[in-house]
Amino acid sequence: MKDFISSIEFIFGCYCLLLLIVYVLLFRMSSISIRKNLRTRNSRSVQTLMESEIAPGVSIVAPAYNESVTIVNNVRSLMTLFYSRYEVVIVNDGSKDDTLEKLIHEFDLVQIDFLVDYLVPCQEIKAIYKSRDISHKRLTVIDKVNGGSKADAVNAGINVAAFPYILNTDVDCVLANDTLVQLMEAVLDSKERVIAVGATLRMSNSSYVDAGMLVEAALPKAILARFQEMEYIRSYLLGKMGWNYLNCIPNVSGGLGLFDKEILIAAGGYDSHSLGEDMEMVTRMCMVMCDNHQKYTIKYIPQTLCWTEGPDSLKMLTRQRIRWARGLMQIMRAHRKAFFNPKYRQFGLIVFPYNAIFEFFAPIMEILGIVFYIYLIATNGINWPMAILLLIFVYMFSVFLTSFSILLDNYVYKYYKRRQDIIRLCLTAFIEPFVYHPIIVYSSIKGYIQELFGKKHAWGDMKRKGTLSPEPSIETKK
Amino acid sequence: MLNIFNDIIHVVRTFFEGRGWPLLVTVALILSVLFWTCCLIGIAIFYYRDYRYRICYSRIYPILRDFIYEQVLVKNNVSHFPIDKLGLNLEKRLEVKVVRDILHEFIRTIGGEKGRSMRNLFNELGYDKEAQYEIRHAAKHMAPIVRSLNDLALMKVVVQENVLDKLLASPKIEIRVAAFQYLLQVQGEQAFDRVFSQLEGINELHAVDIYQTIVLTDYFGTYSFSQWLDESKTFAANKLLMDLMVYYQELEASQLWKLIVANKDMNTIIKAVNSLGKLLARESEDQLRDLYDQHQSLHLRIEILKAIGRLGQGKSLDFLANIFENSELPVKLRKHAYRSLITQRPYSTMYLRRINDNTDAMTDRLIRYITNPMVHYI
Amino acid sequence: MWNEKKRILVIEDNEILLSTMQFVLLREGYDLLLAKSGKEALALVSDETIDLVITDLALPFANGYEIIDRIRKSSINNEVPVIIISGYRDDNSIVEGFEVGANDYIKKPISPSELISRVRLRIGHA
Repeated sequence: MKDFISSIEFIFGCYCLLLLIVYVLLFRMSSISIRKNLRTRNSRSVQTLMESEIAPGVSIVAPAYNESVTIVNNVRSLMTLFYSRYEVVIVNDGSKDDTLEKLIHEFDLVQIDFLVDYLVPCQEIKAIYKSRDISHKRLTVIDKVNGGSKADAVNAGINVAAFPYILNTDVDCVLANDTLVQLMEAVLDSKERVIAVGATLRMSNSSYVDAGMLVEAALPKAILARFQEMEYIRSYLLGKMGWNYLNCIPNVSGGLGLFDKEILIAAGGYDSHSLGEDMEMVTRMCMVMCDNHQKYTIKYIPQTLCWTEGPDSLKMLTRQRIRWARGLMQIMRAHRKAFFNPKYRQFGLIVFPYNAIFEFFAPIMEILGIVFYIYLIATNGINWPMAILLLIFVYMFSVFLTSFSILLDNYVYKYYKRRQDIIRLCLTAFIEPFVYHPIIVYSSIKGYIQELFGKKHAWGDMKRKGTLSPEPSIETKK
Repeated sequence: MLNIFNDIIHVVRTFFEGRGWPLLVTVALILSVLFWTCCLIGIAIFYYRDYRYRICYSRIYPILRDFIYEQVLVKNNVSHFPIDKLGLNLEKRLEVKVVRDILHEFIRTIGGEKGRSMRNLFNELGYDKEAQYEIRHAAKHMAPIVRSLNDLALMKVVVQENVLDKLLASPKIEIRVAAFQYLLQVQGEQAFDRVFSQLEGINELHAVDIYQTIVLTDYFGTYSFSQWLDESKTFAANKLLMDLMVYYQELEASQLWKLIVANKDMNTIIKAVNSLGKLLARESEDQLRDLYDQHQSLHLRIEILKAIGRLGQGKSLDFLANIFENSELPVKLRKHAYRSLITQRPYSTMYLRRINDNTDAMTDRLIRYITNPMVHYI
Repeated sequence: MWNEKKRILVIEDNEILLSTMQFVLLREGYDLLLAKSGKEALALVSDETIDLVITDLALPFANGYEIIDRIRKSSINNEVPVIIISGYRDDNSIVEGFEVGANDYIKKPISPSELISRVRLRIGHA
């Protein structure tokens, strides 16, 4: 029995040690990656690509479902990005409200005759609208039959898009004016083919947004949204920028991702049955490149280019995380052939195993670890001083990682103008392990169980509140 | 040897079976706390640095702005500015940075004679000396060298040849590209040979930078960019040359065809075909049709159809009409075939009439989609 | 007869360029209205009588093309001359500017004397 317990301890010990090593490596790699990015960025002018007539064209594809409250402002903000050659394709995914009518009225849209090649599968496109105003010539609105998922709507946009690069975003996301320039610079600044680029997302809850434009970023007031903000900063700046160093990005978020259209189509477009369609898409794109023996790069840039309204109720948050967990499990199952498969190069040897062992298994190991702890306590087998010491170390290490991510964020750019926002964010790191982290673990386990038993996922309706318009800080007013 | 190895293992085992683990974890905990503290200090430093910069900027900006308006816009001074009146302390690094940033913004927005006066002001404030020092002494640090080269180009200040040679031979591509941009802005056409002979290692972003530098100068001439086209060069280098050929309308179809025939890289071939179209290389029409049959790539075929649309003289009408009328082909290919027929009016008028008279409902829809004046990108 | 000053609406989100144009045009004696975004510009265009519009293309909320389009459709300012000032140098942007109804297109960086000449060409002296 003693040997059995020792073996369990050994397994947990190795797992935790490996995870620690991974985080230490990510800590180092993310710093180098971000420094390199900032050095390049600071030595060039953003105007060069913005005003160049040889800049590659980009199609922004943004699905909209029941977005009546904010659709006009959001589309306006997408139409005023600073870039010379792009179009905006809004996909009205069978909205039940007056989303389409508002667009038609605001932008003087008329239905046009069309013929579309369904290069990637999607539900029927019922109509395509263009504007009679030449000033809105870059806008295209697609009206289609609801496909039950965002993936289906994005596929419709891909089928209609004209340019070689697709920017996939949500219509309620607030993008920085120079989003297209920043992402395309990352595409062009590479010797290998860049098939996807992502950037940091943050929460727009509590930020000051005026008519679809971000005026001033602020830390979310609601504690749940604040936890998510902190989690996003850590995930993007520590995680993704660290993996960026090794060209091992596991996922480009559907909230903001620039993709090579040719590879998107070659990989079959988004899977409308997947609950983690963005990660699943990137997985297939990598596999297609490897199957065709082509070199590729997926990049991340540390700048925050997108602000999105995050779920601020526990119900919506858990629903979202259950979906993500189920999506991850689906990907592990569907693409298991990539696991430690040298044919898929860094994707098969690093990305996929990492996702499987440290993302997918992590909540399971945590629960098992807690059960083991309880068992040891119950059987008087616990070394209390060591256990407490370990707990304190793990807690402090997690606080350190979060604080380091906040440091990186400030190194990149000072997004918060108010001093108290930074202080509050740093303090939030202390309570996250006790409050937020258990919610995520619970949601993940629930997601795995639901996926195992084939339960249908309830998407729910995320009620758009629009963003708050609190008074901007004194500095901005001046 | 084996005994030593066994001893080491024994010591390690004893250590971990004794106080080893608690000691390790304690050390790790202390390090975590230490690093966490460093993070907080770092956050505070970054915050403070940004705060200082903003305060300095808000103090200096109105002073500099009023000085520029008075000296450059009102008094029309071109040089010998009364720098003392500014009251700036350019010994401080922060003020140097702020003044540079503000002047860069002004130089970027104000052109013509006043723009030249602004550059002289930039020079007289001492940035010339600082930049000259940086490019000689910054060793391997890319950022100060690139920044200094940009400043020197802005001021149109001459850099010694031996220094330039060193920069052009730098292992860092960013420094070489900055040196190219400097040469192109200061020497203009005289620098073309030197720059284009050393394009190895550039990527597409560098190509855009070099392209923009050249087109934003006053250069207008008949330099032969095509002489540098070569199948051994990277796509980025060839693309840069082709973009310049198109911008300056240098029609050298034979060089482009050499590149197409010799090249295995599909992107280069596509770009060369695109260039033929934009340069209206009319004698290439037959060869483009042959190229269409030789390759299966959809992207290349679309580019060939677009090129024929631009340069066609009516010799490919059957070819285009057949593609459009073949409903098995991808819609995108058919769209471009029809568009190319439209652009070749009046040669294609009869073909278009014939097609329009014999369409089915789907084809009719396609034609109306293509010809709709509200559809700009297909 | 009471001669009112000629009024120019300047729409530009770059602080430095806006204040420079403001300085140069005020010195010439013109009356100015300033807007830093498409939103502010659209409000001014429908409410105020204007003699000339100088606008950038890349603006927040509503781009320059939309503003010019609204001007051409407005009841009080539909024949006002419009000068575009932009860093976009491609043919498409220039052609689109004229298609929408602009009368002139100046590429950045702007020469103040050239700006004054073109303004005088359109509306004469202040």
